Amino acid sequence: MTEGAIYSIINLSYSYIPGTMALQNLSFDVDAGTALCLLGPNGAGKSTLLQVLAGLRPEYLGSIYFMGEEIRDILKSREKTYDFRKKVQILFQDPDIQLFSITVEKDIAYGLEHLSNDRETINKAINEVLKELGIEELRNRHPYTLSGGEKRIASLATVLALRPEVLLLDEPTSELDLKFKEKVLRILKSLKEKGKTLIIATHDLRILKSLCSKVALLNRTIKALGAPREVLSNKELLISNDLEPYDLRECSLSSKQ
Amino acid sequence: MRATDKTVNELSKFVMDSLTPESNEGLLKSLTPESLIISSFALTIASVVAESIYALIFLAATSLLIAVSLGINLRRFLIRAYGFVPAFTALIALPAAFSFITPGRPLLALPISSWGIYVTYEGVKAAATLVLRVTASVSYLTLLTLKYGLSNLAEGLRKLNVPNEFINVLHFMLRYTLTLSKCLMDMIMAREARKLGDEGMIDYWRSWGEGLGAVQLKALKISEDIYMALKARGYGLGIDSGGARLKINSSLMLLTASVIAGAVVTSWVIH
Repeated sequence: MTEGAIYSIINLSYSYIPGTMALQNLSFDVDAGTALCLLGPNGAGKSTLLQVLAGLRPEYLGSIYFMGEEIRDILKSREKTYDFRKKVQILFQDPDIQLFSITVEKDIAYGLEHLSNDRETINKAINEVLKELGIEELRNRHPYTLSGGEKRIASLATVLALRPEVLLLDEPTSELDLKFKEKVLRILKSLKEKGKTLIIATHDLRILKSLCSKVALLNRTIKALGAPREVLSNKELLISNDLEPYDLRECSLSSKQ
Repeated sequence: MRATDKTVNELSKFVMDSLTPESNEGLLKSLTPESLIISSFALTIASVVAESIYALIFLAATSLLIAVSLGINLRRFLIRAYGFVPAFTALIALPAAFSFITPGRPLLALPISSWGIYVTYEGVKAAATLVLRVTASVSYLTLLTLKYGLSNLAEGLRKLNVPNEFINVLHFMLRYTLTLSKCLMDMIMAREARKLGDEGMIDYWRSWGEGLGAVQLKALKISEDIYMALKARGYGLGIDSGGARLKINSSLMLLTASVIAGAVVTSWVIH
């Protein structure tokens, strides 16, 4: 466990079905304020890892320390769980899971209400996040009536409204058009500048090249962990893990920008 | 489109229609959902306890009057409240009109009267009472859904101090009925797209069974994921502001008291 690490993961394994490991012997640290991107083929365990880190799947093997304390110990105490939930928020891959209320506004309010804010603060937080994402017109819409992209951005609003310290994002830009992609990227960048920790499962090159400070190549185990250029330049490694090699010229151009 | 496909389509259309309120007009437009819930509940109780046919006719007619005052489209109201459910009830109640179920004074002779089977006065009265009772009860529930939409009604229940868990389950039910019925219809469409020629009844039912099985598995997965999404946003920590609660004011008290008193008095006096 290194000092300053927000997460310390030691020999983490997770299994849905006995005998089949979704995650196997993962060990790495996530420093506070970093943007770590998880890259990997389908079924590599990216979503599972994010859910485990969010404290939603406590039946893992090994240890995960969040700010020096084992997540399973945190979950035993209501007060500590409350603090943990305020600090750590997760965006699910399927927005239909995130949007379970009757309007977008109520969905955003759900977390705020459960984490004990007064009505004035809740309304202020809702207005702010809707404005920030430019989706004020979605406020009173039923989630079922939203398009795929609108659902994605509305589900992001439910997480951002809580202003967490750590954001676990599962494919935050999938299904978004260019305008919304840029908006989300801008918001994530500003969160990073504010010192928030971001752990993002993504294949989006724009996120990989301009946001991530570290990339972890995950395929049930950690295959590589390092700076984006270092991991993405290893074509053999990417191909052997069923990933398309990225165009590094685009990466170098972006790093100059 | 076959009957089963149509049923699922109509179900999701019905839920979708019921989510949103139909009108904001009418004399009673400022009536809050919670007031109408209380009034409709009282009038439904009156419809259930009323014994007299005249009382039931009066109660059913009152629902029409309220529908007009609430600015509800009468055609839609009549189809919803006086359409399928009363007709279905009449079909079930029909045997009660005959002497072999309800013996009594002969009202109508039939070609089979020589076998001792005829329509009795008591039987017709019993069947008519049941149909009218169902019609009156359904019409008050229809008023609620048409005026406010199921979503707003659920919020009205929250203000009436109904536990949040119950309201949330209602919301989930509405939300995921739509999602899962859409999923099922997409599967049916995908099957249609790959199908060449006509499909026999057995194959049709088999593919429906497979589709329903797949949707059930999806529902299980979704329910687990939703629980996680709820937990991630603080569910189960015992803290919930729960939104606004009902403020008992004099006008609401007066409305509730008058509706309950009116319903009970009407029912018993006419009887």
